[in-house]
Amino acid sequence: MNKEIKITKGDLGFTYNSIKSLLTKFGEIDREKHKIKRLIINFDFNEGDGSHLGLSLIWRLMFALKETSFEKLVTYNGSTQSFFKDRHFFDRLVGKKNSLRKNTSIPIHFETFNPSQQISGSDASIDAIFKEVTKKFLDNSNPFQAEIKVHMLEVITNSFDHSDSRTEAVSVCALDPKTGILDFCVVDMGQGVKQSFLRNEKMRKQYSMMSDQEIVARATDFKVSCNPSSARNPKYPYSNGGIGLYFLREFIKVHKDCHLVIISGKGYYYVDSANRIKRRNLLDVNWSGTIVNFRVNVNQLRKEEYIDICQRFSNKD
Amino acid sequence: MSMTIKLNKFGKTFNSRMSADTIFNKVVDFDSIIVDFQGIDDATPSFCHEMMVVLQAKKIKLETINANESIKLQLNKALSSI
Repeated sequence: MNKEIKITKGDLGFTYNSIKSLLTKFGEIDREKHKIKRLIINFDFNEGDGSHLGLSLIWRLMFALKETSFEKLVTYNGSTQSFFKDRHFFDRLVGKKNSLRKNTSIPIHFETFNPSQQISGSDASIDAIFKEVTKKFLDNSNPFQAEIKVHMLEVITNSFDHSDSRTEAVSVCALDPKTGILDFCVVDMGQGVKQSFLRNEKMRKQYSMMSDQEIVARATDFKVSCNPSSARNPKYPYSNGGIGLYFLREFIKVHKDCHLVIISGKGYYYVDSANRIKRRNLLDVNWSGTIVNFRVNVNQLRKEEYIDICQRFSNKD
Repeated sequence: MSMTIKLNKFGKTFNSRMSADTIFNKVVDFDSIIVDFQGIDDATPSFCHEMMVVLQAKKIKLETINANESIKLQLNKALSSI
């Protein structure tokens, strides 16, 4: 059978409805993959539509389609064609290109990495992933932007330490120079937040009764972390801090024009600068892995309030 | 007995718990150590936290010097959750 899906602007947002819509469409492909002879994906949106969370998801999902045997055709409408063609999106999908780094109107950086390939002292490899990104997008002498960089590194490090992913993860970073909005996203297809928590025997009882949406929200709380023994390196004898996502959440809450989205399993969590929090259940769709997306306006000062939060509990001997 | 560890001998950016583990698990038989962040651009709170818990488990007192403003903030975050 021929299967055709259309990816529109409405599939590309970071909102609950957009995520559900996109995952529903790709879910159809997954369910019917044994019957499909030819898949036609029609990208029908314009450059600048939606968020880079949507693009990250498409990127990762398309990447997953490489493993399938059916014929794949991609068609473009609007300015999507130039958007994807400039970035050799389809070439990358079929393995002709290794990276997508071409500058266009919105500087954007797509990268893939394999979290299962972390070895001791691999900071150099993590740094290599981000060197180009941070050099291009962020000024390390600016305290606010330096803090954004730290959060980016934390999110990518989480993927290495906790995802247990055996397949490639995707990171996307884009900065709109007109608005100063930086969009950063890491998408992995690993074990997900809940499974990571459940592998800790001490936490299993507490978290087994919680839904995915409760778990992803809980993951942003202070001192909440998965069991280090669930990390690939079993020699971790110490407890993790549960500080990375917590301080990222607080960073988002106190600065303007920011949001954080975390998706894992059926759990969807959103928090923004106005401290609007949305916890949702994706119901009939899910993401097998973890998605972390944050968006910030880089043109602002780091707030004292945030520094106070970081130092709130640290006045110890 | 005390010693100073100059982190810049190991790199310029420190992100992962594993790298902290690799560096500080080798430290034995010292009462205290001084970790010198001179020339270090970035350190994540995860790295800082791992450094602290590894040394704490060995009952080694930690002092940090020459950390830039960003790294000081990460050290504070890490200290928060000890």
